[in-house]
Amino acid sequence: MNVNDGICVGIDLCADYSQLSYCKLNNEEPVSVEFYTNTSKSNLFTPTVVSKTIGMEQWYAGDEADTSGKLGEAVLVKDLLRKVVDKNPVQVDDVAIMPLDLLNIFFGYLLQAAKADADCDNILMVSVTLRDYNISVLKAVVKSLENLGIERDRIITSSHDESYIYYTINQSEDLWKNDVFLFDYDDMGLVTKRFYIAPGRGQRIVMVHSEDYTEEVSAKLIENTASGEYLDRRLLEIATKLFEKKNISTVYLTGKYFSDEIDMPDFIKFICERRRVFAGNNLYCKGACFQARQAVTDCGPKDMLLACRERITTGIEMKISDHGKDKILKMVKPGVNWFGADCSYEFIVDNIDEIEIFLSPVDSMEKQVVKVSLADFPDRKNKTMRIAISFSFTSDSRCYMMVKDMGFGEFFASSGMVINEELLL
Amino acid sequence: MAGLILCRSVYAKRPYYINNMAINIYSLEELCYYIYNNIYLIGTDLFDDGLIKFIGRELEEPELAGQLEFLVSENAGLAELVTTVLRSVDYYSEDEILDFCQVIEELDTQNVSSRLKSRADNFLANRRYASAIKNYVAIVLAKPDSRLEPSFYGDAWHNMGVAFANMHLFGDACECFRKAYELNNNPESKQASLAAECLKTDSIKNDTEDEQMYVTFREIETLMDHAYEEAEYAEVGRLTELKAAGDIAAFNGVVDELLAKWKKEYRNYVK
Repeated sequence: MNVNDGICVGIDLCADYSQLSYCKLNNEEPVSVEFYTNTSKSNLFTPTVVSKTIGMEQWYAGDEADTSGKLGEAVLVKDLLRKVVDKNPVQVDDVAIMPLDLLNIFFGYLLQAAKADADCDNILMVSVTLRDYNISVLKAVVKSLENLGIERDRIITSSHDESYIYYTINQSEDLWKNDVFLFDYDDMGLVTKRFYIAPGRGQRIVMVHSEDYTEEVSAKLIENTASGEYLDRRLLEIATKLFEKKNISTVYLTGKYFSDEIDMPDFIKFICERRRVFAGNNLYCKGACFQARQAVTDCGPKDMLLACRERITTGIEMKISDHGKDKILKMVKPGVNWFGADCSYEFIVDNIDEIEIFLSPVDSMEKQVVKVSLADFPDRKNKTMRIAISFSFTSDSRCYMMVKDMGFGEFFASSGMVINEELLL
Repeated sequence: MAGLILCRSVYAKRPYYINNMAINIYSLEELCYYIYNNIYLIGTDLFDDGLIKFIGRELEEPELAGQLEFLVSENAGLAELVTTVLRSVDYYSEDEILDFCQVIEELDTQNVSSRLKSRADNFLANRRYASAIKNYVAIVLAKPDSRLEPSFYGDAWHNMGVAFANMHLFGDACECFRKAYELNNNPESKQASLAAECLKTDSIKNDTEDEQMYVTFREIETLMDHAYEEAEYAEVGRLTELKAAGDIAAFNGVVDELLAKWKKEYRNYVK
């Protein structure tokens, strides 16, 4: 199968509504899939729901599920992501079903929609971006896509911050020469994100700084027509404060409340001054799509290191002996997403009774040393202790290290001893 | 150079069985360890089709397998074959490999008896007592080599005694130690013969007038008195505790475990 015939799929998976896009391996902009049903107009959003026809083993997802549920023909299941976290069986009509199976139905629907829209059966990579980067949801997403035949190495999970970065850096470089601001205003309220690049050790370090205004600028504010002027003034104040002493190339407006007609004249006037401003509601989804394409083609900027939330910003290194010479082994590289950064290495212990781990932050030349004593491990002839050192992450700053005595084949059985250490990055 | 050596090669799912050591090998590091520590036991016949296939398929080192295959087809010497394996993985340093090559060179210059003794000693160190005895017997039954000191043969008898003693054949062990003492005049052999005598008869003579014998018997007595404190006895000691506590299920479990372990060990001794 020719990879050039395949598509990369981006999914913005949210608790209420999700979005879908795809792109080919050429440099064309990702295509957002529009969802049609008999009862709704063309829409880039599809509800994150599934439904089951009453009395029949017939399942629907997205708009079709929503419609059939509203018509009373089917039992509608909402809150899929919360159910996935709960992991409890869900009673739908006359069947009890695991939440993961419901997610399979939803993803199956999305992948089928992407294939149909692109007229292509070959999915090269799927990138799922999530607002709430929760490990239970992430694991379920991966498992579900695997159930649908997408292998682990063809699945990417990312946060909205990461998707924002991928969207930005895949636009003309003029648009991100200086800082880029994003105003995301939806049912959860307003969140802003500042994209900026800091020089690092021979690399451009891409950062995203988020500010949460969900309480100050809530969804209720826009729903109340009487508060229009107040909202405009409030947004202007926020933008003025955020833009102070900053060179800004571009401003993106996204989210439900920036997708339709925007009636905030002072705010819009201010942000448009000497800046390019774009409004739309599929930035994260397209960003995920760009990320998927970049993973397939491996043609992104090589000098860029992503240091936003959910990306590890401290490398984990270890001094090893390589053919008698000291060498630094980079076990966890900075700039990778913590979910999927788990790794394990095996070593032969040669005349040492402690191991040294170096924590190397991207923004500092100083390395922190963590020493782990092997004194409690059994005393054996030199070079007859094989140890496994593994790292597992639960967030971008929290890592658990495990050192395990593996023995040395049948010459020396493993003692089963394990050393656990928590590393705060 | 001390540190951690990164294991780059694959850990086999299906191991390779080394017959003369009755051991399974799972990695290149283990293969190197086996070769390095048992050079007196191995010959070019180690590098047969089975091992080469194991290296190529299970350890996923087709390049090394190809090199070995070529060397075997060219009738390469043992030194060339083993150094090819040792250099294929970062386990032994170059200095260690060069020293090892020196040992291999010396193998060719050793006389038959010395070679047999090195081999037998290797078996003894690896608790392959039957194989060790077989090689010691070949030494002591052969026509004595005038270039070798009588103590060489004495030491061979002594080590054969150690092998018999480990197999609980104390009568044979006693005979070996006596012959050893006649040839090497080493007090250790004398002491060992007395100890074997005690273990054979399961009794200690208290009426001896020989001073050395008296001292040896007392030492053995002291050792026996403290045997219960040894780590190896702990498992057996646990049995007594379980029996006293009336935990028959646990008692039977430990008995089964111990018997299985001893059986396995004994099978290895006599292989």
